[in-house]
Amino acid sequence: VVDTFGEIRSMEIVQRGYVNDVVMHFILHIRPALNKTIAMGRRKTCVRTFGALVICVWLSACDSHSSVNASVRVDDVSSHSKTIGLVLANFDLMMQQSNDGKTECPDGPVHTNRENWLAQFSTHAARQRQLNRCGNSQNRGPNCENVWFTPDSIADPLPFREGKGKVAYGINLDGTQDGRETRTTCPHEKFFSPDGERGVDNQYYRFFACHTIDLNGFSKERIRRGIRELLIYRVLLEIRGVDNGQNDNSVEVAIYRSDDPIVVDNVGKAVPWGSLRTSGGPMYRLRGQLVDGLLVTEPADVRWEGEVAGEREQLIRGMTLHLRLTPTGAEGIRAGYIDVDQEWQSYSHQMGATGGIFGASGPAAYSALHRLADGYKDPQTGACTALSSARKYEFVRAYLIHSPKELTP
Amino acid sequence: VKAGTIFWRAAVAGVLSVVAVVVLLILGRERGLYEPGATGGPATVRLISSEQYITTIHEFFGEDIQVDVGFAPPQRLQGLLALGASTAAMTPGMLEQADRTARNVAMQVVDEVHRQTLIPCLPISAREADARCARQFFARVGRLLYRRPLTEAELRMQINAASAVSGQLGDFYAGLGHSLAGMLISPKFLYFTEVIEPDPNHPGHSRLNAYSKASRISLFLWNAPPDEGLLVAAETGELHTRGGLRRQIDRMLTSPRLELGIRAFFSDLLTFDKFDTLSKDPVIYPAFTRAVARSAKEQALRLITDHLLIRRGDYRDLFTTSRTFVDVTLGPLYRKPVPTPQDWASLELDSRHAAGLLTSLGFLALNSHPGVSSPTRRGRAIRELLLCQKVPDPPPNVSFKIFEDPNGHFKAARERLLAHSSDAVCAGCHKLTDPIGLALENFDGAGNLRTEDRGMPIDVSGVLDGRSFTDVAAFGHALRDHPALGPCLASRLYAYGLGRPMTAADRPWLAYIAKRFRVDGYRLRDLLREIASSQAFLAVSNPMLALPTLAANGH
Repeated sequence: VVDTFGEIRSMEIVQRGYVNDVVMHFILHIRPALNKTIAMGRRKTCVRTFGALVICVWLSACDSHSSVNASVRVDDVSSHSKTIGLVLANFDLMMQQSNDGKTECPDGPVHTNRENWLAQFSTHAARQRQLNRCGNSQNRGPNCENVWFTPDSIADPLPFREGKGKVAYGINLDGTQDGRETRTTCPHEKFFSPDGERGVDNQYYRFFACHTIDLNGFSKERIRRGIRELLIYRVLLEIRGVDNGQNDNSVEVAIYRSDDPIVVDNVGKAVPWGSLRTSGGPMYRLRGQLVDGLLVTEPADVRWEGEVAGEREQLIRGMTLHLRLTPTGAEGIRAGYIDVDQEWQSYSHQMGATGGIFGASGPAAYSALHRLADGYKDPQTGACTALSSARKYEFVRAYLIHSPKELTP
Repeated sequence: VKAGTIFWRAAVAGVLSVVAVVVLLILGRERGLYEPGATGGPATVRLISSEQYITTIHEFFGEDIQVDVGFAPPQRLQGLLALGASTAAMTPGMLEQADRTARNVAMQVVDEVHRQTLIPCLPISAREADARCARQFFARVGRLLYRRPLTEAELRMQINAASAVSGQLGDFYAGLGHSLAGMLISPKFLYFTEVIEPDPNHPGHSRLNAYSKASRISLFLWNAPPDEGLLVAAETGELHTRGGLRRQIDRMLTSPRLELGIRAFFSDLLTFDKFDTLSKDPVIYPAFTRAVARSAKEQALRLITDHLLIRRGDYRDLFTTSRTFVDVTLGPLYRKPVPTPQDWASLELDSRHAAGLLTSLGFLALNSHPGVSSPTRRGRAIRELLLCQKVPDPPPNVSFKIFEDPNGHFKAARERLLAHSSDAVCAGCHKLTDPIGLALENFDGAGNLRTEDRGMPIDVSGVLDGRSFTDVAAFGHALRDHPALGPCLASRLYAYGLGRPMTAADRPWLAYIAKRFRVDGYRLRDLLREIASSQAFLAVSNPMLALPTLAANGH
């Protein structure tokens, strides 16, 4: 049962009495194997094996106590486990790589709304008139429009400062080495990966690189604390159908959420081999393959819970996971195109609601988002509607406990 | 004298009867069926522990009353804190803490949320003193807190104190709270004071009074003050009768509170108070957090209560079982799933690397250094805590240089200890501890299973008092069959119940109870019943001082 269903699922099956699952699996998989073996002249052995299976199931010999004991110990990814469970342990956007930020932003951080307001109304009298008329500096459209809600009502006088660095996380999403325009993508500059790989696409990073966000939303300390304390980060992966932990041309990756806390060590890092219950069924099921221990999933559109500084849910188009499996977890890239409109909703909500948490100015940012968009070209307008993106993810191995409801056919 | 006559038949029958009686007597003595006479020890005065304080408040006033108390543990005597409690004094620091806690608890009891249920009457006016209602309250509460009815003088004192404060503050409940706080820092509450009285059945001898018997039994079995049933049994004199006493003991042995008592005893026996200060080097053992330490303690206690109470297992098998328990915090350390992450799950370990309590995370981590395992500490713990053997302290000028040098030539602990023990001064004691401590070397200083130490394969073979073993499981069996294991537990349990150190006069009774433990198949519940219902357990010697009696009368 363990070999066929995987350790957790088999435990649930036996504990919850899901005999139907076992019978169905027997019909689909075990019976052909038995027939084959019987044909090879090993009838007695097969009958004994089958009898033991039936007795085990029907007599509930595998109670919860022995089920735990009987579970396969998954020591490494090359073992014969059918499933590999993972829980998100950390992620990184690599927003600021150099100590002073001069490499990425030689001219300094993005101009704020106030700087643009000062430039837009150059005299003290003009500013006073604007305030008297419109109430605050964010309502500086021609008819006092709020620049976050109607960002195209004016053009900011100061330019938007985007990242100038050459290195970013990511993979080659458009298939070109130079970022030239294609049928579905817009021209853009490429990055090198931290490993020196060429052709990396990450316009999302280019947009955010000069925001003064390393002090708040994107800081590593905040991310780590968030991973530890906030349930929005509790993302589980289950890689199913793994016949070979190194090379397997067909696996399924199910993405779940969980409401359980993770176990952390003395420095707050997630500890592998924790047990977490899935919250309901999988949010997504992705097809993928393992190539020399690297899990690569096929592109799929997913909605991913916001992860930093009040970010809302992100629509990631053509999302793909490139995760290198290790004995205790997995590490790699989540790449894909982030929908511009969706991103602006999240971004402007934060800006408008809290007075500019990222420190940028609405019209310039709105314009830059559209200008930097490099994927999912609208065939009608020829404009791109999404930004290439990538984040580095770290997962640790985990035991996923599926709810009985999910296991019910 | 003719053969076959009735005379000869009677003679043969008589001889056979005498032989049978003699044989039965011999067998009975051999099997420990006859309880030796016991002179008893002095009545005791035991300082309340933090756990007993919290249990008392929660039992009487409800578990939603916050009790923030953490008295420093008393001195450990004959391996037990419970014995130190009978010689402990109230330090100024402890009194200050008790006073703060008492005021806090009293304030909660009389607050608007709790007064409806905890105060059995309504005052005439909430702004004035009400002696009638105060009397009802203190008569009820005082009986539970002092473990006996209050004398009229005590009752009047509490009512007067409450009335004075109520009058000054214009608040009946404030007065009640003030007076209640006074009761909670009274020695009559903070000390379990045993009182003796003349024994009417044995003129010239003394006995514990019924309330003291109730407290002694209750502390022994529940680690808690007597409940209503025991107090009623004391009031009616039931505890002075053999049948009444047995009924109460049987009731207590089937109560869920028994688990609290067993946990308290084994926590004391195994020095689990050290968990409060247990820490590991976070660089060497990053996964050993405070949460892991808490769970490790709970794991050991769950194993003990599950094996001894729920399964009613043989005490000795506690050191051979491959069963353990894991929660979501410990699951990662065993690399095992926890099917219900909100709860504990039983887990069957690889029997080759399992020796019950000995291989529990708590025992291993507690008896190690912060950054490395310690065969010496582990061996000493087994000798002293489980076999009741004394291992001398190391001499003050001993050098640990060879053992602790991480860059030293000797890699494995066995080699380092061997080199360290080459000093003749050290060798004597290390011969006692190291061979058995090395049996647990497959577990590092945080209790995690390992197969090598600093790159060297680990040799866990050794000899325990003539019984050789090659792995930890065999070591568990060797300890299981050690003749001192059962008697050690019996004697510790007896001393724990009496609350006083054992003396030479107790030896015959200790030998008897050890035999009974063996005859009963090393079942803990039977041992508890034997001890609690024995004459020796409740016996007291004649008083040399009348102090306990004076204290009980409120002087």
